[in-house]
Amino acid sequence: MNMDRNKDRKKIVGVFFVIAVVIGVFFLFPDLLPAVDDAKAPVHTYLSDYYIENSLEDTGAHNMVTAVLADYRGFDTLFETCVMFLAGVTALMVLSTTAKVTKPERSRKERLQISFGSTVLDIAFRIIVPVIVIYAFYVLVHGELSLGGGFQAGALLAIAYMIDRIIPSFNSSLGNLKEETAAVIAGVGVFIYILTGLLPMAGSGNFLEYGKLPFGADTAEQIRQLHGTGILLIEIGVVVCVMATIINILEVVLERTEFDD
Amino acid sequence: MNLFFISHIPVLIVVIPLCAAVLCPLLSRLSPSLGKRTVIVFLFVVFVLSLIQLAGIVQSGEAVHYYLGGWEPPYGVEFVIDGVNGIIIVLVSFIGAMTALFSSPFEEADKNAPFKSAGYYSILCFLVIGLLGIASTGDAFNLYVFMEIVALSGYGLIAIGEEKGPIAAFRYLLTGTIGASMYLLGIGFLYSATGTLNMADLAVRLQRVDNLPLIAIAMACLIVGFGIKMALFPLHGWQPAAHSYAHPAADPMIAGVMIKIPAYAMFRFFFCIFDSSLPMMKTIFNIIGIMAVLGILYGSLKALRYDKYNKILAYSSIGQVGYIALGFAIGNFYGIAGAVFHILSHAFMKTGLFYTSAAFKYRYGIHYTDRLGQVYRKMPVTCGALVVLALSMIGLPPFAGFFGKWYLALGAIQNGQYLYVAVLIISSLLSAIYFFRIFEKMFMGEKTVSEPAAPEEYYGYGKLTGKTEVPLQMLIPIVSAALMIIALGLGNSFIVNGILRTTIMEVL
Repeated sequence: MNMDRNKDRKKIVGVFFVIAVVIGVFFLFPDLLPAVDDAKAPVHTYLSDYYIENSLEDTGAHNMVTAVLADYRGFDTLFETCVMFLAGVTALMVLSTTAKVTKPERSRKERLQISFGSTVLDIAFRIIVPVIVIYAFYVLVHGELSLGGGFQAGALLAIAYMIDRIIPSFNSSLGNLKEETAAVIAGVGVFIYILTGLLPMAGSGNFLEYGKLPFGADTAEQIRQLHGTGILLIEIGVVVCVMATIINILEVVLERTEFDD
Repeated sequence: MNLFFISHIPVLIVVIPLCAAVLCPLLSRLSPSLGKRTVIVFLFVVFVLSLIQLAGIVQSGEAVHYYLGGWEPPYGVEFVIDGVNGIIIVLVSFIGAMTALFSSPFEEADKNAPFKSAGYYSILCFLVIGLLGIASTGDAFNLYVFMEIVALSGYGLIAIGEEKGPIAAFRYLLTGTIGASMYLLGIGFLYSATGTLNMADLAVRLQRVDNLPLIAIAMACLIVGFGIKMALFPLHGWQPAAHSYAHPAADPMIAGVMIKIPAYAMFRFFFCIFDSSLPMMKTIFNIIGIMAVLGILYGSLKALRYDKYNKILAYSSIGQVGYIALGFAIGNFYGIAGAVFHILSHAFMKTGLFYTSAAFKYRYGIHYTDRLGQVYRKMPVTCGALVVLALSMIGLPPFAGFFGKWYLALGAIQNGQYLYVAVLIISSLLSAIYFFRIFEKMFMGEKTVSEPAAPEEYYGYGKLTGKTEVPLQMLIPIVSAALMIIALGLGNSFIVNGILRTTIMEVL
């Protein structure tokens, strides 16, 4: 017991030592990083200037963040989407050894009759969920112009499902998706992204080179529109993957927990 | 040979297994074993493609560049394949395909729970994809993304392993996240000084940076980041438990390849990106050298202490990773060539040894070496391969392990660093002790391995069928690992002079 306490104390001293060293380094060298308003720092002039000047011309996307995220560095985003899919599959595999909690079976008719238990929630549910779904589509297609994009839209769609799934005493009124099915759908979402990347190869382009999608474009304006098409296609893939993964993880956990309130 | 896909090979090597990995759950819905077979077949296709790619690089003597999205660097992400990573990609795809085949008896497709084997294969395939990506990429941030893929699939494969797997995975998750953050912090500093993420561009623009403290701190962050990922002493804390309790079929990939690829990334940063004429470079290499020396001694001594087969192998890995770091610390041609050669040879050795460990678990549920008595009568092929692999680990010619150490020693003598030579010899002797102890138990000890009397005493993964040797899907990877050790040993001068020399000479 005493030994354990000594060991713990040593560990705490070690942790504080590491933190002190890291903080000390930043006090010792105050000019490590360029100032936020330093217009001449290389980080603010080199690549950033290129993106600011050329992203609209190159990609046709009015939103520079989208241009970098989905077009210039679309390959990174592909694997960020894969991280989502992988997280879902891993959660499913790790928790698959834990037994599921059995819940009373209800027929479809019964499920449709279940209310949330209060009139306010019943009415609010009917209004909120359609609005969320419409807003999700808006965020998806508008991501190219302003804020938004696939990840956010996917999360919104998942929230619409989640409200339905969680509130009515843990039994969905719309019928619920099996966790495995959600993982399959997430995989298909990533595959849409990969397919968008592979298609330009048919038009003698590189992987993810949207400008060479084989839809017949000649003028510069048409090529810019192709970039828009490519970005929209991959965003759809991201939406499907993110939505399905969130549902997947939610289902995996809900199936194995028993709430009594 | 002028097929249209030849120019796309660098990206196809990553994308083909990716298709298999994401479609694996869907395919297993159609037919229980379809997803698993797709993954195995696609990984073998990737192995063939990687060989074609390497042949092209050796013939032309030039690096292959592939611009993703058609954006020229530094604006987009690019893949750069030269001699060093060309051969590492061959290694990863070969061991990946073999491990997928090897896992097949462990993860029989089950009609009632098709997702179990499909999910396992999907995660395993992602591990291979991440490693291939780290080896292929020429972009510092893209490397981070692949590192995340590797780490996440690693957590999964460790957590679904044996009983203590989830705890080992959680520890690895905490330390691994710190490692990844340190790497990200390091490239963040470099980005703030140069404004670029492309590795070749970073190398050019870093020469004009005169903020030396910043470069030093970035280097420290990178050493800690890669050190945690490759389990370099004293950052190895997560490794022994993770390698002992991971899923037995995926363990060869985790123990054999997952800790080598960060070592390759370290080579990229410290030799290709940082300017070797910087005054602090000598100090940095000395620090890496001290970590390596301590790691080699610590790993070899700790391995003597354990009876658990996986633990012995895991601690021996800490020592062997030290050899690779030692090669970087030596820093001349023979040092780096020895380090890269050791990445190759040790990947095959450790993968092969973990194959044998999984084979013992599969048939007899053996975890401890004292239950291996006379096992060679039951599993002659597996034990024959084990002997070859272990002799190579000790460093006997003509096996590959000897030549890795030979090049390292040549480099150390050339630099006059005789301490490193002494450490190499001492640790070889120590590894001889712990491997001969296993041999003693296997060949000369009393017979302790036996068929379980009743099915409930049986702990193996396979069904009790009365067969004693493992099935063919497991024998092929075991034997091929042993054969590759002999082939690498005999072909060492071609690999070092024919493939690695041009690339390494460019960066020195």
